Amino acid sequence: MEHESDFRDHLLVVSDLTKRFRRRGKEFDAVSHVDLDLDEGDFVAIVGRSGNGKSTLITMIAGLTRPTCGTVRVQGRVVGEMTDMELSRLRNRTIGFVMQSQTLLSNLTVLDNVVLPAVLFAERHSQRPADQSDRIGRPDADGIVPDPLNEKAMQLLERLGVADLAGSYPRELSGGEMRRVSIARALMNDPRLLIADEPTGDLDQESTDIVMTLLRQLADAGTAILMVTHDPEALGYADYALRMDAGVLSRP
Amino acid sequence: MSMESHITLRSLPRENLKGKPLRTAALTIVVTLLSLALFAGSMLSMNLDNGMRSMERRLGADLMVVPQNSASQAEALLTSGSPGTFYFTRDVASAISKADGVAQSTEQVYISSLAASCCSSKLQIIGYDPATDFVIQPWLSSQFDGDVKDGQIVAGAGVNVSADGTIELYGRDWPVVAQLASTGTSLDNSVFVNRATVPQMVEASAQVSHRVMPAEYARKAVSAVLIKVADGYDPHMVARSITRLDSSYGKLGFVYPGGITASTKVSLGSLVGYTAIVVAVLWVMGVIVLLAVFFSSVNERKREFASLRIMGATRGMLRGVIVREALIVSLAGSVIGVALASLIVFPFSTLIGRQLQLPYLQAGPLVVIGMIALAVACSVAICVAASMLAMRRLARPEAYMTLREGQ
Repeated sequence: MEHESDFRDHLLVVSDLTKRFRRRGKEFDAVSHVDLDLDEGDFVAIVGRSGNGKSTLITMIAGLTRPTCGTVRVQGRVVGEMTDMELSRLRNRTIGFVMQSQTLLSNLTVLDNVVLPAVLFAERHSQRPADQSDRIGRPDADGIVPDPLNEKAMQLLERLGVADLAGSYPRELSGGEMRRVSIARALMNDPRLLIADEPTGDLDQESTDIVMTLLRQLADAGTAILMVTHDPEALGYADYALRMDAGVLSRP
Repeated sequence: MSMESHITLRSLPRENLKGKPLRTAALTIVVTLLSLALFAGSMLSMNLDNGMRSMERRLGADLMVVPQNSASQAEALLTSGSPGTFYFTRDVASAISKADGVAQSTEQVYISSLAASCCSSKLQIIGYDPATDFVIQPWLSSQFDGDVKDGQIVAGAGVNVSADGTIELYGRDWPVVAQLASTGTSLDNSVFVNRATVPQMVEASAQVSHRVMPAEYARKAVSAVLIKVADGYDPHMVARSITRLDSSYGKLGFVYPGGITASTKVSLGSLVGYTAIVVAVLWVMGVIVLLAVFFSSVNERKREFASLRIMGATRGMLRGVIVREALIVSLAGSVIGVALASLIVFPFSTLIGRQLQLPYLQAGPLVVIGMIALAVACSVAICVAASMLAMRRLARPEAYMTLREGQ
């Protein structure tokens, strides 16, 4: 019974999570019996050598990969038992995911890429953040009423130092710029849990500081952040770090 | 004052199509070709079939007896050939009508006009005898309620009648009392007069140029005797009995409209068959190209769709994006295809009929609208089906694995 109440209290509860793969006829655990709890406002980093299961772990948490055994609960609900619609809503509304690889849509501008998650579910169109309500409907100098979603996306791009690229296409961006736009997109729906795979991978020192400061501010404001990183600079912003070694998660 | 717009799931397919202009153009061209082939091929087959059925209805006689060496000209007159003038005398016609097995007979006179101001080519003037006619009158009665009086004309569908309701022939204006519906045969370029008007026309021709036939023949010339055979008689049997009436009748020409219909049907059947094969081959090739284009874009789009899944798109949403893209491309392509085919099929229908040497009758507007809808629907359906096949490979559940491929 104590466990049941734990599931409900924590934002994220990972229990005995395992992912088994077969390589050259031999089975091995990429992720082995991992337990992890995360609450709102937690900022946790996972470190470890490449190929030790870090990315596999976070994709199972986001419901992008099915575990071999074990469960992931987000807000008390088991991810593996969700329908496609429920899981998609969870990924859209509750979880923000920053990928290690480039995932911007090449046919859309930077601004449209960032806005897109906010328009996937129709009912979100009518939802406007309370702090923006006083600005909605006020036309600019040309008589055009700004769109609240575009405005919000522009604010995020501004905070990440890439607002001037809003009208550009991904092919015109550097790796670091794409990474920052991806982070803006992951934050568009104000996720309660942000999962970031190497968010500072392609960034220079200055950009790393901008991104990590923003993530720290988000955590301080109540967003739970789970970050995979190799960057010692980024580690300093996290509350604590966990080590992943041969699929086993432990506190160093 | 206007509201700034933002991207929506509904506008995403349009952005995707704009972002890949080459792929979009390739798909549009393929669908254009598919709908063009289907619509043009179907219209061609349908119009030929219409022409055939119309010809069958117009050939109300079982046997036509024409002068020596005139049989091929008479056949051409019934299908799609050029006008001609040929005749024998009325006494021959009277003798023929008394032959064994003749149930009903009527005489017609054919005169080929000079190029008239009404028409792009020569007109066939057909004089018929209202008292005995059983071929022209039933057809006329569906369009014209009354008798064609001396000097009056009934015009075929292809004849241009002037605003004052006349046709100028041999320097004289002839009043037109009715215009017939299109048949798709050379009868569309004919005018019909009663037998008594023929001498007036012959006289008129003598006033402006050469006389179309000698004055003494104007009242007794007969170009064809059309015969309905009695029950139990075969047209060939009746033809043999006619040749036995007089030794000189052996050289008369005999035309069997049923035979013309049968041979035209054979030519038409093979043409429709070839058309169907060409359309089928084009469709098979088009579908292969469509599948190739969709499947070649699958690898390129795996990452795009995995990204959408990661940001919360359901499989239904992905399907919606793919289907809407296919709908936009296929609707545009099929409408262009039908429009291009229409530019060929409709303005040049007369020329097509003439080139094919087969009766060619344009289908009515409702049938055409139905065919347009069918061509568009088939093209859209095949494009959407091909895109859905490709989609099956895109909507795999483990989207993240796709993004890690090649890392």
